[in-house]
Amino acid sequence: MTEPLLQVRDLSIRFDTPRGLVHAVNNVSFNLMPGRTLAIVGESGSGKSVLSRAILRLLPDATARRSGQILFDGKDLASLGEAELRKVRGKDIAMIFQDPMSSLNPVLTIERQIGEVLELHLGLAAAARRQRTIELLTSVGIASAEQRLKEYPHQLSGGLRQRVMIAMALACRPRILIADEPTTALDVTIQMQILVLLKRQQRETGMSMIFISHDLAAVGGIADEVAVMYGGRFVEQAPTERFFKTRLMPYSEALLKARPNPFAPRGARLEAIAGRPPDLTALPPGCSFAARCTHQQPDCLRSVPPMTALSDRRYACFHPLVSVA
Amino acid sequence: MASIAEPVAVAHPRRRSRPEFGVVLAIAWILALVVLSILAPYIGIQSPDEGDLLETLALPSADHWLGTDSLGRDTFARAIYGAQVSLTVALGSVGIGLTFGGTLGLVGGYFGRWPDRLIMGTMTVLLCFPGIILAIALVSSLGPSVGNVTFAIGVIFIPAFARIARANTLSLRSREFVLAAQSLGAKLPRILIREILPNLMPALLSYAVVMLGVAVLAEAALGFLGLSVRPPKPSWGGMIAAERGNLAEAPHVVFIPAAVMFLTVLAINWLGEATRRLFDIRAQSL
Repeated sequence: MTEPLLQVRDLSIRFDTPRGLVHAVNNVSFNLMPGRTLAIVGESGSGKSVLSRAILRLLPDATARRSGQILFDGKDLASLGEAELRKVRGKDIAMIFQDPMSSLNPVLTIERQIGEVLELHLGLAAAARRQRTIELLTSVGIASAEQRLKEYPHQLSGGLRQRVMIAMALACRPRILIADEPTTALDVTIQMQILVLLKRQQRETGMSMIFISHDLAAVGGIADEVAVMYGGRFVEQAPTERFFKTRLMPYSEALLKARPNPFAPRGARLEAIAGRPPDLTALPPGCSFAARCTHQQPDCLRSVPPMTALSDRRYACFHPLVSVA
Repeated sequence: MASIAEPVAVAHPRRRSRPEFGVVLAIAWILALVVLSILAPYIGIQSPDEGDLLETLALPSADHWLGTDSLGRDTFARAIYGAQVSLTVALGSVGIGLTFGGTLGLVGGYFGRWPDRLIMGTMTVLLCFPGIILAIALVSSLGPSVGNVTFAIGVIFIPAFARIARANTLSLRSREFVLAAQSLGAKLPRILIREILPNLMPALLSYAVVMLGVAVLAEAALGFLGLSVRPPKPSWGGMIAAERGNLAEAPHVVFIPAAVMFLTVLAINWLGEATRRLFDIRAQSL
């Protein structure tokens, strides 16, 4: 059996805020296999983005407290020095962000922004940088790449900008790409193109991907495995196909049902999840979903359900939806 | 009734590239001043120091374009040589303010916590002194010279630049492109200089242009108090101060240098306004 490329062990992130300690990520563990894609889904505020940033240690040291391990290729990223960490960032693990408008520097040309990464990690000279930048832009499907070099982010459309971001992230052929809601800010047709692009890049380079999204359709198309996050915890993890067939944890089920159905009759009610996500400063002693759960039972309120493994899937629920015999 | 086939004249949108008349005038005035003051020793302008005592307080004429002062010195020549001082001081002091203030603000804004408190505390203390009094104190203890005047005015400018740089850095450092640069492994100096600094430039530069005018006025104020270059070297403030006794019989000797100064500051402010608008438009399209 191959070794996982990235192992996250018992990772917790807390933020010190004036309102109290925010438990943004709680005891999250997962493995990422080489060449595979793990999708992390969940509603806003469930800790998806914090988790993704924590992997590269991008959270402010001043307010974020971290415990647990992040093993990349056997090295614990959590204990690396700043200089070693920088060698991993961008080179081994790269990241793309939700809003391509604000993740590109508005006053630098495309050439400068991509060239910077190439210079930093690969030490390429100006001419080689330019050549490679054009190659990269072409490979992410940007036509007339040479003209685009001299343009600024505001001259590009949203889709083009996200392509530029992807080109930047892929510049050093990272082994892991963390995509934090890469398609959320784009319209549907462009979303599709970006997903196809990411998949193609993954096929060509063999990189692993952590794909963070709340768009279940996108997840179904791109991920090998789906992890559902709620209240800063992983509540269910399963291979994509099996996940879309059956859910064990009621929250996953509710999440899937909450998708608007385009074929629903007029006037049909949307199946929203009642209630609000838990307050991360004061998580309940029991299951964090219990308050909104339709299958709630007394023991749900007493202690946090542990992650239970069932063949190739895991879930955290005392009363899984499909009876597990 | 007009047929629908008749071509309708479409109003041409105003070409944006044509600069405003006022701005052109302002640029022309400042360019002329700069060129004249640089070339002054080589283009046969009369000596600013040698007076013709037979021709004191003369009105403008072909010989003396802007008249002469009470010692018979050519006002035009003195105004040009005074411009040397004014412009040097203005550029130098704004340069000091921009460099030091910008750096301090950038560092304070980015790091926050104690560096920020230390820097901004110091800036607040500096702001507590009335500017011109601080400058007078500095120049009178250091001695009047172009260098010291530049330094004194520059020091006064530092806090304002620092505040602007800090405020902008605060909002920029949490923008995603800074995070993106970090996620790509950028080092700290690189993030500060390549990612944040270029975004600060519009705000800092448009403020810098406005401050050029303030610096010209500050230098004139010091000159008026005899704290700019030493006589007989001309400075605009010094020229006004030296002739203020003759205001009754020969007002032009005071008003001409004052007018030159007024026009210069006006031109600079006009340019400052234009720079601000220029950066504004870009900010909107971002």
